[in-house]
Amino acid sequence: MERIIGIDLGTTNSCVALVEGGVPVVLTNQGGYKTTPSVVAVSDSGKRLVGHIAKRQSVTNAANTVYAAKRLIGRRWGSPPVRTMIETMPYTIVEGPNNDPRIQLRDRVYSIPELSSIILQEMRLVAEEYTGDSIQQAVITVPAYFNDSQRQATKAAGEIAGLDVLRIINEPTAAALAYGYGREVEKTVAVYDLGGGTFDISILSISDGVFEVLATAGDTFLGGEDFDGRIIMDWLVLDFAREHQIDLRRDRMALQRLRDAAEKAKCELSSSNETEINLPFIISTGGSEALHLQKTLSRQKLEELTVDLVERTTKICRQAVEEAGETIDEVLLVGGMTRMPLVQQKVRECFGLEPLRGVHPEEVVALGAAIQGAALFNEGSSALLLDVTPHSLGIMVHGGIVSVVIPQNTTVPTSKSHIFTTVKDNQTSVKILVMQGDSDLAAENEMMGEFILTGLRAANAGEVEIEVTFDINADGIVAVSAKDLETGQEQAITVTASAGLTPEEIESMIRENQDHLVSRRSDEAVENLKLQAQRTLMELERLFPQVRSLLDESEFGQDAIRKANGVIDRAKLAIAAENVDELKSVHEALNRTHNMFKGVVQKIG
Amino acid sequence: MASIEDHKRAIGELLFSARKALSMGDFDTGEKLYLEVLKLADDDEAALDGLDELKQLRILDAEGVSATDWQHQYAAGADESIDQPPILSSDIFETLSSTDTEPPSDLPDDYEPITDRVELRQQERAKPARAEPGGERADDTQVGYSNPDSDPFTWPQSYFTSAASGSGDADLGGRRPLLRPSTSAAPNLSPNLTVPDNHETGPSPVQGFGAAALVTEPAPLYSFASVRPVEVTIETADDDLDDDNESLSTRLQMADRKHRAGDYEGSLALLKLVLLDEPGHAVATALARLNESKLRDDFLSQLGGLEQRPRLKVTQQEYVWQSLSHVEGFVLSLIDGQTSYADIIEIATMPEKESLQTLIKLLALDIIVNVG
Repeated sequence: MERIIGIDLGTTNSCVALVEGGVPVVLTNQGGYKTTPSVVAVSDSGKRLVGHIAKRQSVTNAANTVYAAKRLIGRRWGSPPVRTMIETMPYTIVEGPNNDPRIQLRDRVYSIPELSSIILQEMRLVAEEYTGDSIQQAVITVPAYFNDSQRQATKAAGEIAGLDVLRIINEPTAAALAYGYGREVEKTVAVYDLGGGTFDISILSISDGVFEVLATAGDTFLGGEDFDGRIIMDWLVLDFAREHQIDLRRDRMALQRLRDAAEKAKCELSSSNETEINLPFIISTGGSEALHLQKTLSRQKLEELTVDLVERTTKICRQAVEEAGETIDEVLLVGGMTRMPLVQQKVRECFGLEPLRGVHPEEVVALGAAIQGAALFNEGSSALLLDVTPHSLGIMVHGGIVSVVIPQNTTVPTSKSHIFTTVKDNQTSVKILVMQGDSDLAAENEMMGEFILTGLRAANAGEVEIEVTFDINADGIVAVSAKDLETGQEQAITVTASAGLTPEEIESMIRENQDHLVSRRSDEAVENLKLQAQRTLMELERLFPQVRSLLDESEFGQDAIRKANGVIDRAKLAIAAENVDELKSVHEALNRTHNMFKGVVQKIG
Repeated sequence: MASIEDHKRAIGELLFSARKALSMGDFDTGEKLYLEVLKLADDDEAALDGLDELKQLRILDAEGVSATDWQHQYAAGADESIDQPPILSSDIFETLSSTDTEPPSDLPDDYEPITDRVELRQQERAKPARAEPGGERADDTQVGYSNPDSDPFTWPQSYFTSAASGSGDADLGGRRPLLRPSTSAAPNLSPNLTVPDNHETGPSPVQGFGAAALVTEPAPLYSFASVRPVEVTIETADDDLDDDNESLSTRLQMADRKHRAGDYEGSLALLKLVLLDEPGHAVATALARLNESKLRDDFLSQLGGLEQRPRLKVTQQEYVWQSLSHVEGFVLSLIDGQTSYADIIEIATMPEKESLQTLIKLLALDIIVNVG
C-alpha cells in the first residue's frame, strides 16, 4: 500500500509521522528520538553527519555545521534575512549562481534546498525503517508566511530527497488538523508556535475545510536556543568565571558541553522544580588538574533569566490578534518551548484562554501533515484541506501600485481575470509585471515575472482594453495572460517560482543523493553483517575451550574442531575485508558451527 | 564447573597477556592482568615477579627511559618465551607492499631498488661498518648479535653515510645488535639530543592519522635501562653536509629499528625530525605512514573495533575522582551507550589518534565498557 508521510521540516528540529490504521503516529529515529535536529555537518574526515550526531559536534565543528538553513530557503542573496544570517552564523554563506544564498562546507558549496533535502531524506529513512517499505510521497509543512519561492524551494528539496511532494501545507494549519479541526468546525484559532529557533503566531479562520490565514507574525530569530543561551551565558559561564577566573566560552569542547547541558536542564525544568548540571572535567587549569562544574538550576531562576524572551512573544501575539480583528476561540500550542510553564502562563494571560495542550507540541505539526497525507489518499476524506494562495497575486499598475487579481487565501485551482487599460495616448505596448505579496505598494512585494504585450491599437489613453487572466493550477503554477480585447492580440507567461536552482542542478542533485543513499545503505548492510558475525564469533570463542576439551579425544571431534577453526578464520578475514558476499556466505557457516557447539556443550558437557 | 585445567589455562593466558602488555609499554593493563592472576592464585610467583618488574619499569619510565624499547630488547634477547616484537622485513618497501600502503612515488634519483638487496647486504658488510650515532662505543655494553642472515639491515646504501669515525662499531658489520639488560652498566638516561630552533615550527609533511604524532614532542630517543645510550646529536642547519647526512641516516636507522621493535611512537618521533630536515623525504614519509598504520591497528584492536558501542561502567560519582583532562572529560561526555567509537571519533573533532588514545585510556581505567 502506498504510504504518504507527513514531514515537519523545522528550523531546528524535524519530525515525521504517518497514519497507521487510522491513527496518526510519530516515528522514532534510530536513536529512539521522535524529533531529529535539522542539522547537517561535514566532519574532518569528509563524512556527512545528519541529525543528533551533527548537533553534538555543532560547536566544536561550527564552521562546517549547518543549522537553521530554513531561514535561508527560497530567499534571494540580497534579502535582509540573508544579510543577518551572514553576520550571525558561524558557517560561510556565499552567493550562488542564481542570486541565491549557498553554504560552503569544507571544500564544497551546497544550495539550501540541497541541505534541506538531506534532512528530508533522513526523515524518509526513518519512515522507511519503520514501515519496511520504500516511501515515495510526502506532505511537507512550511510556515504560513512562506512565499511562493520558499514553498517551491521546499518542494525542490523534497524532490532532491527522492520524494514526490503532494502538498506543501502551512504549519499552523497542520497543527489545527492534528488538534482535530476539520470541515465541520467554524472557529478562529490562534496557533502559538515557539520552536528551537523561531517564533510564529498565526490566526486562522477555519470554515468548510478552508483554513484561512487571517494574520501571521513572528520573529525568525527567537526560540529555544535563546533560552539556552541565557542559561549558558548569564548563569553558567558568568558564575564559573567569578569562581575560577576562566571563561568557558573560549574552549569549544567546554562550550559544546555547556550547550548540551543547558538544553537538557531547560527541558527537565518543565516537569521539575530544580535540576542539577554536572559537568566533570569541564576545563583544564593549565596544570594537570581539570575543574568540574556542578550547579543546581531552579525553575524560578530559569524564569528569571528568560522572562523577557517570553514577553517578546506575547507582544507579537497582541499585534497579530489586533491585525486579524477577530475574537480568538482557541489557542493551540506548538513547539517544544511551549512545554515551559512560564510560556503557558504568559499565553494564558495574553489571550485570556486556557491553551490546548492535548497533543505533544513538538509532534503536532508532523501529525497534521500525516493526517493531510492520509486524506489525500482516501478520496472524499473530510479532513482534506483545500490549498489556498498564501499571498495575493496581481500586476503592477501606474504609480507603482499593485492591482490584486487573486487575493490571499483564495482556494486553488482558480482562474480570475481583470480588465486594464492604457495610460498614455497611442500606447501600442504594455509591460505586465506579475507581483506577489500583501502590500499595496509594488516595491514591497515580490516580482514573479514580466512580459510585454505588443501590437495594441493606437488610441487615446483609456480606450484600449486589456484583459489580464491569472490561472493557478493544483500544483500552484501560475499562468498569466494578457489579451487585447479588440485585436485579439495575446501574450502569456507561465510563472514558476524559482527554487534558486536550475532544473539541471536539481536533476544532478537527485542523482547524487540517490548515489549517497545507495552507498549509505550498503555501508549499513556491511556494518550489520559485521556485527552479527562478530557476535557469533565471540560466542564461539567463549564456547571453544569447553568444546575442545569435550571433543579433542575423538578423531571426529578433532575434525569438527579443525573445520570450526576454518570457519572462524574465514569469518575473521571477511570481517577485516568488509566483503559483503563473503560475510553473507560465512554467516551461515558461523551459525551452523555455533549450533554445533551449543549442541555439544548441552548434550555432552 | 571449571576444571583445574581451565583454571591453569586462564592463569596462563592472563600471564601471557600481562607480559605482552608490558612489552608494549601498557603498564596499567599489565598491572591489572597480574592482579587478576593473583585473584585466581594469590601466590603465583610469575605474577608477583611481574608486578616487581612493573614497579621497576615505572621508575625507569618516570626517569625518561623508553620502557617499551627496554622491554622489546629484553624480550628479543633474553626471554624467547615472551611474545616477541614483530621482526619486519628489513626493507621498508617490501614491508609497504605487504600492507597495501602506497609506496613513495617521489624516490630520490640515487635510490637503489630492493632487487639489489643481496648486493647491498654485501656492500654493507664490505664497507667500513656504520658507526652508531654519535660514535658511542657499543662494545661498552653487553651486546648480543643477531644472525645477519635472518636479520640483515639492508637500507639502501645511498641513505647511509659511511662511518665517520673508526669506532668500535666496526665489528658490528652492518648487523643489528640485540641488547640485553646489564646488571652492572649504569644507564646514562640523558640522550644528548639537541633540536635546532628552526625545526620547531617546521611543517609536518605527513598528513592524516600521524599528523598529530609528528608534531608532538619527540619521545626520548634511544635509551635503554641497561645499556649505555647511543648519543644522538642532531646537527644544526649550519653544519656541513656530511654531518647532516650522517645525522639523517642515523635517525632513519634508529626509526627503522624502533619500528621493527614495535615502538611505532618512538619511530614516528624520530621520523618527525627527519622530515623537519627534509620535508617530503620519501623513505621517512613511507615509514611514518607505516608506523601510523601500525599504531592505528594497535589502537583499534585495544578498543575491540570501531563499531563497538561504549557505555559508562561506573557512575559519575565514581569516575569524578580519576585524574582526567578536560579533553578526556569531553570525550567521556560523548559516550552514551548508543554511539559507536567510529561516530564518537567523528564528533569529537580531534585528530583521530588523540581520540583513540583517549578512548583507550577510558577503557583501561574501567570507566567505560563496550556494549557490543
